[in-house]
Amino acid sequence: MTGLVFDVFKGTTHDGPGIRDTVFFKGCPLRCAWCQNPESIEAKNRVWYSVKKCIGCGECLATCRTGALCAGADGMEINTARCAVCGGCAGACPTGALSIIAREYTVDELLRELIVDKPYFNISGGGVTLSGGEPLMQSEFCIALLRALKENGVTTALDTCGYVSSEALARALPHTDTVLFDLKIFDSDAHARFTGHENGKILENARLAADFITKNQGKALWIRTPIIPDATDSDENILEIAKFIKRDLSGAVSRWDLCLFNRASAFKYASLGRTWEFAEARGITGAEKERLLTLARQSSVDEIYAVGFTAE
Amino acid sequence: MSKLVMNGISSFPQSDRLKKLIERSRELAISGKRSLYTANNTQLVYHWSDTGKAIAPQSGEGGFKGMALGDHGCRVSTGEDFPYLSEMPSRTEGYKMNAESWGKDFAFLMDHSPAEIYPNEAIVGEFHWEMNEVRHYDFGEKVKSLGKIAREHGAGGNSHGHTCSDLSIGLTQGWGGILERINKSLEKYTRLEHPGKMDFLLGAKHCCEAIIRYIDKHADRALGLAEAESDPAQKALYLKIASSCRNIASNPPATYYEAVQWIQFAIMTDRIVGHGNGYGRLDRYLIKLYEKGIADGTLTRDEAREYLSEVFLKVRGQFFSLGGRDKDGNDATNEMSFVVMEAYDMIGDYNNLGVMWHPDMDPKFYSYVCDVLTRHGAGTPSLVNYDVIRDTELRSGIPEEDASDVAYSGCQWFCIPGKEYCDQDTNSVVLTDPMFRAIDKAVDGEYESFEMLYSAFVDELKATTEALRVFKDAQYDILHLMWPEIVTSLNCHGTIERGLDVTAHRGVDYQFTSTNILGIPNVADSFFAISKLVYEQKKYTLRELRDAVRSNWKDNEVMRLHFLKQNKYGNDIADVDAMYVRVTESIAEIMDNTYNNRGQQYRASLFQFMGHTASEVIGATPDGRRATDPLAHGCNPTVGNSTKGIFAAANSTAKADNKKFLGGSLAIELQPKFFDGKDNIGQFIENFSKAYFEKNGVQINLNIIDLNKLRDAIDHPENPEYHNIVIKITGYTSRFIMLTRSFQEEFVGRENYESL
Repeated sequence: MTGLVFDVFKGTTHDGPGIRDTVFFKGCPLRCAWCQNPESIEAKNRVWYSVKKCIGCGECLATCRTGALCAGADGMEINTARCAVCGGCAGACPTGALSIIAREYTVDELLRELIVDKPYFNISGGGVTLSGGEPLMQSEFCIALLRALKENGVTTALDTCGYVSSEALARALPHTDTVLFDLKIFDSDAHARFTGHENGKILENARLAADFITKNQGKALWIRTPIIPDATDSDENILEIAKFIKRDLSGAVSRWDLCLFNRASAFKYASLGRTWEFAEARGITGAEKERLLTLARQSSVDEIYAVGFTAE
Repeated sequence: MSKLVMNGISSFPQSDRLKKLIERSRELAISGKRSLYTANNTQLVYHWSDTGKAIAPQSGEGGFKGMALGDHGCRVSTGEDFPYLSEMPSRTEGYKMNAESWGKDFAFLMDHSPAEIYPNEAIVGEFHWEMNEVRHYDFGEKVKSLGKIAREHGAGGNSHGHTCSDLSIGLTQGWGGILERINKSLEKYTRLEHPGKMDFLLGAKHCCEAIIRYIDKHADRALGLAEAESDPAQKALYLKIASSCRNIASNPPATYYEAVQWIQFAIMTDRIVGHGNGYGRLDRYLIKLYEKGIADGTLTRDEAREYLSEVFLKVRGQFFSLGGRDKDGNDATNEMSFVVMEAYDMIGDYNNLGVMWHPDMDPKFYSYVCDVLTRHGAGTPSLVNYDVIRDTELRSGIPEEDASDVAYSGCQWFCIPGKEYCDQDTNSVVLTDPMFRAIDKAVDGEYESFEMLYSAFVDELKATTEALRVFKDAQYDILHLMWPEIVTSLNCHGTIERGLDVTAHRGVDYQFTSTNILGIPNVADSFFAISKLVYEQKKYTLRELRDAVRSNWKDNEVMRLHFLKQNKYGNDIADVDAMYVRVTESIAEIMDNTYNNRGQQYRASLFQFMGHTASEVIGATPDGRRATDPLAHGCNPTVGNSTKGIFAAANSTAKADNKKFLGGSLAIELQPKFFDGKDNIGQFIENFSKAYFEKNGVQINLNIIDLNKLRDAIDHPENPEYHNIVIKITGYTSRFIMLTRSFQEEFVGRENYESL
């Protein structure tokens, strides 16, 4: 069994308690319009291309056996339908302009790469976070990895969008110390409009997670809400989520992060040959941040933070 | 978080008196009066220039100005040469290459240096001229010709100081006690007719007596000032100085205050010799007199802190260490460790304190240390892994009871105070040189495998080390005559009784030869790329690569990018890091089996203090580096090649077996932004450093800097906002605006983490 992972970042501090390594899994069931990791969305691996890095040497062309690659007016063009993701072009490219997004790991390979950081985890109360994409899209692999980490004395966190099979979530929870659960938009129609799906299943899974956390000592549930201009940043949305947390998740939530929007992902959309409707979107102001934090406090969650940069 | 402004974010209020002293110290620094110079790029890379004269700060030939290493010199320049230069004994009586002649020159310099006492000072002592400005410094033709051969092999070295005396000797015996021992020993060797030992002891007698006269002169001066002073507070201060100097001129200090003043004179007179030394474990030196003063009510903690901060303002950038363990392996942290740290916290700015962490260290102290380090953001203190540096000493053959006394003493190095003369940080092997020779051999011999190339590299590194050994042995034969370190020797164990200078063969027990290695990551990355592209994939021939590198990749940009694209050290990637470990192991094995003519082995540092900035001396390298790009700084990843964050970089550096080396610091430059959203910056660094040390890392130097400000400061040094920006440049700290431009540019170009 292998998992498809598009990044392993060492030494993160926002994806759960302490100092952590975060593993980013490929594939996501949602299609959030503001997505910060667009390369993670498709479950299938692919080649992407940065015109900025390309020096036009043409060494890649001869390596393509399926004719998926051709030189266009604005640099290389990739026909993803034809591409076999063999890696030939990426290997030949001297600058890394062409590269494969994700790589396959076995549980053991990934474990070996993560376990070396145990001293950082132990001293800081940190561990490993599974993120994505949506890790539970690859639920069998993720559950096996979570179990292996726990067996090796590493505490775990699962960062989920919630739009997953309840059964998979229930099987992952016993191996998870901290659940990072996304609640993005409370109004189901708006949720469908911005993410492609209604949120009934997500709220149901949130209750499931809260129930599990409440019944099991030493586990934690954090809620994360992306604060996206004109999408999730309305007073009403934050207030509704706050009420839901207070009413339905009944004291299980120990922390709520409001993750402020940034435009740093624009280059990723360019490399995927996609346009992004948030490429020119405004940032969140300091005043707005403070207002939303005040509203969020109605949830009675102990720790509430705004994470990321404000516009000014 | 904004950059520290002196007086800015201290936890302790500054008295008006101290504020005035800080202002004066700052003025001295900014006006360039404390600058320290080196000769040129060649000196930086090989630690040896063709003239063999290039020791800081001035050559003695007048008007010499080299590259500014920063404003961390102790000396306060008057802008004038020593006024009695022509009357120096070695000029009137004729120069003799021996210790007695050296000692007479030193005594003359001290006797003709004024006793200076400034208003508001409680701790006094300031000097303007160093020995290397007034006395002939020349190793002679034999050493120079061997130096040329070493240089052709990619090595060099220039023994000067860089050791660590044990100030507890003088603090308990006083200069008078030391002089008594000199006289006794001189009597003995005169009776036994040993001219060599008599020569050293006569030199030592001249020096020790001169120091006593010099300190006594300060008592006279203070009394004179007191008589003329009308302000009662200032008058009392002068009288206090007079009484203290009168006592410690010859006697051991009786109080904490006198001990601090004694240390100031000890460092200053040592520094007049012209070299950078470490001075040992300050918290251990002072704890008894501190506790006594507190117990009998003659000292308050505020006073204790303030006296020490005065020494920091004067001494500028000398190395002291704190913490570590005692002989029984227990935590050596004491109340004084806190007071020293508080003294720095009170004034901030630059300092070269090092804290020797170990798992049993008082957690309260280490938390405070990390708080001070991150709050001031100026690289102070360095964080050092005590257990690893002790193990390095043990591994060299130093017995347990001495090894436990180890003290962090310089940029990346450490010493057994008073018992080592190990030439730390003054010798250099430029690792790219043997690599290039191996590549030439492989091209000419049409080597078919990478292993053949690597084996040629090992042979060439042996040849380089051998050339260095022959050269160093020639220096060691005459060092105690050409430039004895007599003042240091006065506070060493066994020197006086043996009648031998610390630099003489067996003057002290431990005399290893330490060697800085320049370019290890570049060589590892080069070999890794060659193994992939030349030997595995056969994409290029070694000849094609060699020719491209020689021409600085001219017309071969695609080839360069291919070599650059290969996995690089510093990202926690197994295959390339294994090459780094392999190269370091080869270095350790060769050094372990190379012995100097004192019968003691060579030891390598995974560090070289500034050679990486002088990259054009070395040329392009097969890791895809252009001739104009800086080399890797010590064991840190080459700038631009570390893309996975500081944790991955830290993991890579921790893979070398650090106990086999004489230090190698992880340099971390963080932007203030890095800490946005982190609740407790000190806590983060505390956790990070502890985990890094648990992984066997040996040292962390941390800077928190606003890059935009630094970039602007290069062109606008006159802006007062930039006057107090202090950075840890390599192993030492300095005011940014006082550095040579090329150093400034290298610093702002470093890998800089603004987020995780």
